Amino acid sequence: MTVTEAPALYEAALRGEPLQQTVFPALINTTRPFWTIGQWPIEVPSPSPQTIPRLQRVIREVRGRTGWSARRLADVVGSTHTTIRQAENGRPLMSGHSGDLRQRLLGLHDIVERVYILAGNDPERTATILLTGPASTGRSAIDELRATGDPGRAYVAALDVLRPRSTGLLVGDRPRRDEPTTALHE
Amino acid sequence: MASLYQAGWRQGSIVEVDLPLDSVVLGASGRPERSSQRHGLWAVATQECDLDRASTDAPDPCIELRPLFTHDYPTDWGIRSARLRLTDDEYAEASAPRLIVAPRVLTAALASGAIRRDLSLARRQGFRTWLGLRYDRPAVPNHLVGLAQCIGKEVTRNKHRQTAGRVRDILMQFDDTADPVRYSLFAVLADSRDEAEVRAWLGRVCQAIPTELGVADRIQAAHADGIALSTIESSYAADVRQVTWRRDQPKPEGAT
Repeated sequence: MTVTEAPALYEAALRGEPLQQTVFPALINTTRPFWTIGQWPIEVPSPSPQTIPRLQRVIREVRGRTGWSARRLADVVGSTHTTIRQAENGRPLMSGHSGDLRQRLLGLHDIVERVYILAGNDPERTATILLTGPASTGRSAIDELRATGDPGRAYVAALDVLRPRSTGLLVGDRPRRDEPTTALHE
Repeated sequence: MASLYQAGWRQGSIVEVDLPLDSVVLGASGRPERSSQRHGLWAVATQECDLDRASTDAPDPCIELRPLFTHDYPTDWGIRSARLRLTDDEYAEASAPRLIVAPRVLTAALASGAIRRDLSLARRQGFRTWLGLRYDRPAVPNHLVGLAQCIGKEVTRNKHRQTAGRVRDILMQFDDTADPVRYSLFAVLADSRDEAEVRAWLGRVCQAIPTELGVADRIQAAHADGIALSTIESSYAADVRQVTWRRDQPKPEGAT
């Protein structure tokens, strides 16, 4: 129960009468003028949440989920640790200097985000998977990213480390269960 | 004696003839009862191989007719929908009762002046595809519909069309005990030399799927000869067939 739902209880509290329950201060709605001093209504400006720019968030998440230093991340995406640090601190990338760094960071983030989940939210294991070459090609996800710039190939390389490809007949290990289904299109 | 096929009947032939259309409902007495009405517009649903085996004067019922309707027809051709347009204003309804007639009934109907119309080959193919899809639509457990639809949408994006054309089918398997759901994608290739490229393409597809819906942890591609039949049978099919058949596309692509 809130005070606004029980004005009588609140008034009793103001009078100092013994109460049967805890009474919290009345809530003030600050989204509209709630008090007037003289002729001036008091208005509280609405808070504008500051969102972290996407690139800053991307860099922080990649570093947090791999445990990489700015220098290591710079090495992975082919940049300098100064640029990475500046971007992480919110300075916009200079397109003339950074080339497609933004795109490379976003591509890497897409992979890291997924591998981190598959690695049980373990940064160390995530970094190991990304830097290990699967037996089939020997090229790690990061190698693929550097060589081809293709996040798809890099992701597949990481998956091949997590679940190495078997030779011979391709066999799925999650057969469908006997349960009701819904058509994808109707 | 000529067969129905030789007499010009095809799967998708439309015939205007007044016939009874029966179904069974629960009557007021609480017992099943016949619900009978008359209907005058039909499409032949029987496959042409069976039409070719059926003699025009065969007395036993073996030819399936689907009632066609003209009221409130859908705007799309609807090859994946419950209603399929066969002509500009005539459509079949998946849930409508169907009729099995003797070949002799069709022969007699034509002899007594019933009108038969034949669809173009493209529209007959569309009808055939629709009939098949009604019993073999891509479907997944209810709680995986969002993920499967998202995979299907990404796979069929225009920018992927060229690579998708090298894939005969994409199979999906899910582990819904994990959070988020883990899924495997298996591409069935026409040419095993496309393996690396198709896997990379699927890798990009998977990165476009929000992680809240699921995370791919296995992406494989192999020629049909290299995939266990049990895997093909026990997987869910992603909808990669380009079976959208809209007004401006008279021929259903890849729908054969």
